[in-house]
Amino acid sequence: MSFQPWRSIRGRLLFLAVAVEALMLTLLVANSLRLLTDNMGAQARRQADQMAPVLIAAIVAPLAQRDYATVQAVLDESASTGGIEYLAITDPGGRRLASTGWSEDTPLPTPDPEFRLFEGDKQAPRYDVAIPISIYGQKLGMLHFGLSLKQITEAHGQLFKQGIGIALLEIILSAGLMGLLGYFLTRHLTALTRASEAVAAGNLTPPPVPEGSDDVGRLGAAFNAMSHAVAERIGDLTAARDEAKNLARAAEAAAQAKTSFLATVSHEIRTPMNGILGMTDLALGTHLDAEQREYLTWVKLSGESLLRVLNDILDFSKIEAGQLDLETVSLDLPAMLDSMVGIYSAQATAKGLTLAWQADGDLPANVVSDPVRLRQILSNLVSNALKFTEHGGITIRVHTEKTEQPAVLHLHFAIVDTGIGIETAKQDMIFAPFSQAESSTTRKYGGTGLGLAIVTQLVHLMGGSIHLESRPGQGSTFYFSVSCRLGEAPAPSPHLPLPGLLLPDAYLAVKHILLVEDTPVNQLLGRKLLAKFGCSVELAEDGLKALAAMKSSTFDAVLMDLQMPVMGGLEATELQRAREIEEGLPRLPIIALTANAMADDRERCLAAGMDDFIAKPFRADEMLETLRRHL
Amino acid sequence: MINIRRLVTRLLAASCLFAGLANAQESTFKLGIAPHTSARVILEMYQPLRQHLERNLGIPVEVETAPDFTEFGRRALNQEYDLAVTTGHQARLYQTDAGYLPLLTYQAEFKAVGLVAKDSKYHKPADLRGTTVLALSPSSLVSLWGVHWLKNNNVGDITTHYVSAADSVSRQVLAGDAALAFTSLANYQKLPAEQRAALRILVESEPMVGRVYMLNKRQSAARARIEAALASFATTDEGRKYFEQNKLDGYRKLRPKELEAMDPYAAETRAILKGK
Repeated sequence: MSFQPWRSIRGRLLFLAVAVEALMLTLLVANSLRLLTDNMGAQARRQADQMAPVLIAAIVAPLAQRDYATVQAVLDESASTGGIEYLAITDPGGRRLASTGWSEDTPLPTPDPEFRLFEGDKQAPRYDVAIPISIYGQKLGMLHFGLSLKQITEAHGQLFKQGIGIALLEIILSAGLMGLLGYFLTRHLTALTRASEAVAAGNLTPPPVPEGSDDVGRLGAAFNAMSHAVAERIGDLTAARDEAKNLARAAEAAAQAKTSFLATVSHEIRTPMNGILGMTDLALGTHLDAEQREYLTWVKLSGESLLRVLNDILDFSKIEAGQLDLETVSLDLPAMLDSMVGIYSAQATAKGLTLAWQADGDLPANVVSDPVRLRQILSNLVSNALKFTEHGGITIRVHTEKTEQPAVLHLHFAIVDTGIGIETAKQDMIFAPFSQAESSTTRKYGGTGLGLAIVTQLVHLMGGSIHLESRPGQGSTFYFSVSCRLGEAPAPSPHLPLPGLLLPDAYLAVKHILLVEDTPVNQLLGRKLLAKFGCSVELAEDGLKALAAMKSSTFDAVLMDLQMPVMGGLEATELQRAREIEEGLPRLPIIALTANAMADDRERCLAAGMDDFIAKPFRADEMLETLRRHL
Repeated sequence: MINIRRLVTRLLAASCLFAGLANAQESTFKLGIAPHTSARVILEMYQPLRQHLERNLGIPVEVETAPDFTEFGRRALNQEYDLAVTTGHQARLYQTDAGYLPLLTYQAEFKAVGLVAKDSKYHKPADLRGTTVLALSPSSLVSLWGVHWLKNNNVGDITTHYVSAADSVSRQVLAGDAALAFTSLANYQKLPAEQRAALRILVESEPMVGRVYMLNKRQSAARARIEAALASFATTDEGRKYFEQNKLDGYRKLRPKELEAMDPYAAETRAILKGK
């Protein structure tokens, strides 16, 4: 902090006092000089008025006698008295008759009728006087003389200098006295200020300031009490903060442990699930009788149900951990709604329900949003509506709302059903996690109770809100909105998986694929699927063997698991990319094939040099489509 | 022819008259007054006449005097006055030596007097022996008369002091600085009453011609106008007051041989002036 003395009371008092003192002294000196100047001017005029009659009386007779020698003698004698610079007598015609102190060759000065001792900064050299000499009406001539102002102006200068000196001395003494007085009056305030500054700087226990019975002393006592209380409170707060930090660290560690546990569980469940679902698909692709096909179909449906539960749990955990990142890609909204109706139309038809979507007004050709999450929200709400509706149907309504930003709009959806409805008192709780309107619901309709909680979180993440209007027996309407941006180019048609068992009806051309997988069932599943696609497959059980295979053989693509013994997929990929650069080899497509389905797994794969990502459990068409993009 | 000659003569006279006035108008008309009293008194005394002459002649008129009679005479002889008013013996000198034209004089008689303190011991000329007497300028008529009177009365061992201010001689006598002072009777009569009462006239001269108005010859062409102006002054209130206050009774023409009677004094004055 810079030193700013005028900001202190003492400084201001001192400044004010010195300013007043300086002003008053200036006025005093100026007034004294003015009075002196006026007085000196008047004195000069008075002296002239006194001198003139005496001189005239002395020279009238010799003038009348034309006794100019006597006139000259009178002038010489008068001039010798001092204070007179020159004396001269002229006749009525202006001819100089006698003079002293003034050159004969120089014209006599003309007196200034507006004579002033000081004209601005210029000082008059003398007071010039010219008085006619007249007696009994006869003009005898003119008396000229100049009074020296040297003594007057010297006295004026002396007074000015002395006045300034005395004024400065007075100001200095006053400033010193006021400063001393101010110090004694405000020293406690200064101590208080320093203590406050120390507190502001972080020293919460500054030395106690002086206390006393006067105002400042009481203020000091109050400050000491306050400082003491603040120190106590800060101590309490510090302890609470430390405790909160410890708790937060513990919670963070717990959350991290949970996340890690979930990732592990996810991986460990997805890996066998990949085998179950994949092998079921393969089995369903073989010649089976009706009973066998029904059994395997139920296996597949149960597996998919289990996978959805697993995905819900993982999504909820990721949202709660703040690890769910939204995509921003172009989306063809009508196409997505068409597919949504298409996906669930078979289920609706089976229950004798109608399912349709309608737009209130025009919809933009494409928007930029997260199509996966938007589809997830709609799927949850539509599947819920189908679940709780026995008669009538379900309608998806959508309209857009412009915002203040031209490129941003709100999408408003309403999923209207004619189902069982929800009592008003229970409407709020259905959005809470692990909650359903009634405990019997779980028994009757199944479900984890996480669906609406995830939907709510996703809607909020996408900048929107959700609410419900429902009456028991008359159906429910779920309203939600999300923010999105207008897209510039038509969105590519989404690749939509078809429900049920689906095997690709097209085959890849003969390609040589390296499958890097340590799990036997997945090794078998991969080999079978790739064989169905028309590819030849070579297997490596870990990353190190994969590197050896890539070095010894030529492949069209590599399907690489991540978690493997000896060497993981990420490290193997990095080494392969390094070898390609080092040896100038063409880039070999490497596609991750992993049960690591957490948010940052895809990023880690791409960062390691992989070209694509397939999460386990995967569908056959998903693998086929991914391979097609790189072959 | 006679008529034509008269006409030419009148025209010439008129031209001379106008020439004189024109010449006079070139500068101030100098009215010189012999210093028979102090310069201040002279200026005061002759202001009415000065103003009258200014009005009548239409030119500026200045009253001048001189430090003493000798200097006044020297200036007059040097033609420095247009009209000089002086005592008879100097008037005669100006007439004979500088061509001045006598115009007129006062009706009142001019007498010189010798004044002593009233209670003094000086009652006869012999009492003055070995004393100091006061006179005006050595060339003044009063002084010359006084010197003659002392000489005629065999008063020797006299110290004579000359003072410029005629009105101060009486004060010096009363102060004891001198035993006797010569002055004019007119000056004595103008003294304040208490001074007069303290003085005593020890001797009084026979009547002499008083102050004479002498016109410079260069103003001869304007003589008639000047004489007329002087005459008219005597008829004005200011003129009458002037004559009354100074006990001069008015103007009169000079009598025949009246100036010539001053020749002895004029000769002494000439000698004094030459000596100077």
